[in-house]
Amino acid sequence: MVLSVPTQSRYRQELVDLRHMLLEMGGLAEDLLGCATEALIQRDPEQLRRAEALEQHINDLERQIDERCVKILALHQPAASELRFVTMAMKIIRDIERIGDLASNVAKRSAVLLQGKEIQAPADLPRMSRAVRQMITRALDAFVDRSVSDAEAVLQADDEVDALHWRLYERFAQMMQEDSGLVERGLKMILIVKDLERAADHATNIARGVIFLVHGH
Amino acid sequence: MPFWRRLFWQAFFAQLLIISMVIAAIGAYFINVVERNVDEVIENELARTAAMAILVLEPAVRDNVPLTPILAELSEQSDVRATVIRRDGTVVADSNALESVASVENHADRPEFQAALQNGSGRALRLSETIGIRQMYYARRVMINDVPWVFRVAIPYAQVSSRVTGMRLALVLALILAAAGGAALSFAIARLVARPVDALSGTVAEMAAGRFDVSIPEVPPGELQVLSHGIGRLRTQLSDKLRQVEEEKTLLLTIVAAMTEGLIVVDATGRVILVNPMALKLLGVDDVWKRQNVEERLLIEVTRNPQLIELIEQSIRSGESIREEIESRRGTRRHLKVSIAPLKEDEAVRGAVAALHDHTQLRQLERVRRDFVANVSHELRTPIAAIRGWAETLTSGVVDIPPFVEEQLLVILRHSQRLGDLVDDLLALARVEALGIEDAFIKVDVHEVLDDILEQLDEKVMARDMEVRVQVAEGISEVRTEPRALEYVIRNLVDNAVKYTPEGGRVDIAVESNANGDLEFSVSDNGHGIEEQHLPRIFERFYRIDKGRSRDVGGTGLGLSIVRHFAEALGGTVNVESEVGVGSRFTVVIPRQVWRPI
Repeated sequence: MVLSVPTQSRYRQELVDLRHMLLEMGGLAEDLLGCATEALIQRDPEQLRRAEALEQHINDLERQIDERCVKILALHQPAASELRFVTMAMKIIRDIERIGDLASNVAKRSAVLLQGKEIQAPADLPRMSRAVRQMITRALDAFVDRSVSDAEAVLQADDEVDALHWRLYERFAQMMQEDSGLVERGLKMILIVKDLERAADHATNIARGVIFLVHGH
Repeated sequence: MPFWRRLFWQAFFAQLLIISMVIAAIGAYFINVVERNVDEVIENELARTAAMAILVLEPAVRDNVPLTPILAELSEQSDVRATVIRRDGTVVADSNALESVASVENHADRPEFQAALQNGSGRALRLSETIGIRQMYYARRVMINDVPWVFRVAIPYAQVSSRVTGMRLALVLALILAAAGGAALSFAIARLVARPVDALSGTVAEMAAGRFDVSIPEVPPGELQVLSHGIGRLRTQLSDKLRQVEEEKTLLLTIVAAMTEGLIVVDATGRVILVNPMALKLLGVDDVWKRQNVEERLLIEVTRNPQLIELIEQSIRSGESIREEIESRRGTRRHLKVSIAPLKEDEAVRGAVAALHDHTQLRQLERVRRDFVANVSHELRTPIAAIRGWAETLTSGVVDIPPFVEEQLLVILRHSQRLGDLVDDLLALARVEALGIEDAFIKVDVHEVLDDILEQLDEKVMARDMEVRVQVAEGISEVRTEPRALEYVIRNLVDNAVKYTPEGGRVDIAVESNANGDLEFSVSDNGHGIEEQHLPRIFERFYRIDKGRSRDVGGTGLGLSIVRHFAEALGGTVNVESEVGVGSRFTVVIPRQVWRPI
């Protein structure tokens, strides 16, 4: 460590690093969810191997970011917008970490589904997974640009995802009623869809955080 | 710039200072001189007046004539005060106190009187106690009947000083006028000097701000003109250079923007220096970012692609180039081939440049091909195996069939076998073309590979009563390679050698490392040999030297072409030397850095 760096610029650098790590973690979560849904929809087991490594990486990063935030708070006592940024970072990483967990749930459930016979996935499934991924991407973009309009778009998209979730839920429920041999797989599907819906909720949390970051309330 | 630092004011004040100092010196000198002259003139005048008064008064005193009327006359003629004083200081007569001489006090203590008594004459400038104004006095001693008398004349000093003051005033006025004239002149001169300098510095400031269309001001000839011409040339050259740089930059940006590869340049802290539209498109972020607002941002803000970020960081950390394949999931899913090179300056890594190449189609094609190969192997092999199975069953003597039918069945059997071999070869070829096998390199024991091959070919060798000799040079056992490909290559070469060598012939297999440390597998036989005109073409697909004969021995025409493909996939080459009637020698050479990496 270079000790001659003035405190102020070291502080700046630490905020930049924090931002960097935060986005890295976001990117990993996006990637993980991408892997999981592609494994499910395109029946591509190769994606699952990647998903495992990604989850570990996300959890490591969460711990590192948490420590970094505490260090910044303790050493530099940030004020006003910087304080909001750091507290927001601590909040955002929980959401990202949860998204990572949910995505890895999807991946694990997909792994089981891939082993058996293919069930006809309704067109709403790729639609929903795409919508959820877009929400997360958009929420992180909003964070990058401090864009309230992007954040609000994420909040609106949540309604669409909820609607897709219920349609799919009913669809799989109906499928299980018609063919009792599909109960096991149908349940897995319902759980996967539920995971996706909850990931979308975490995206809206991030979007709300961005609005707080910009407006301060 | 504070005004006292300005050239104009500095020049002006310096000149003003010099002028006022000179004028003050001159003034002081002249006033001094004038005052002295005036005193002298007045003194002389007084002396003359005194002489005249003495001339009149001396006889009067000697003759004891009353002095008052004479004095009255005298003071009427000139505005001089005249006094006659006895040696004891008693005033005998005074023109200012004609009637009351008695009341005039004794003058014995007056300095001019004392001086006159002692030296014959005396003067003084003092306040008169008699009349109460400043007077200039002149006294002279006159001996009358051996008794000293003092005759004194005086004029009011005001009279003298008014003349002096008038002169002094005139002088000061003249000096002030001179000073004002000098100030005006120095103002003009200072302006003359400072104005072109100001104009030039203004021009230079404009140029420094990037405005090269300013006109160079006209300045009077001399050093300043040389300077202004210099600035003019500088302006032309600078603007030319700048335009050139600008043009080059535009050209570069145009080229970069037109590239079909994505290009990203970042500095060591991960901030974007340059990015072309294709890079944004390949990363699926072209709708979010326009090129203008990407620069200066962190790359991770632009694309959160974790693989790309990681690779670029790795390259900056290690200072080494990296080639890797990554996926971009944003928008359309893409496979990207990434080449990253660190930007080095004196060993310090200043950043990195990444080139992105879209491999999506290639990957898709490979996938299609893999699927095709898998399908073909399944769809073609099954019927061939069935045909072969039935033909074998029918010819095995289980059922009684007429000899001519059996002959036909054998033909079917032979051809189906050949068809099976052909499919196997085609699949092998498709496999090696479809995937780079470099990743699958492992350490392989050469002896084991050769033993396996010989075991497989043992039956054939025995049937043809041939001798196969194997020689592996000392120190070679482990080789880094892909075992299946290597086995295929050597087995094919040995198989060929066995096939095309007459019964009872000999085949030599040798493994050694040559002078360069490259690994050489050679398979030589003492068979028919190959005519020279065929040698360049024998590695081509389906090329046959003697169609009739090679079918007899069951060749597909693909073996050597696969051997060459595999040899190349293993990082090596394959060569052939042959002489008709003596034999052939096939050599596979694998470079040292491939088979025995450091």
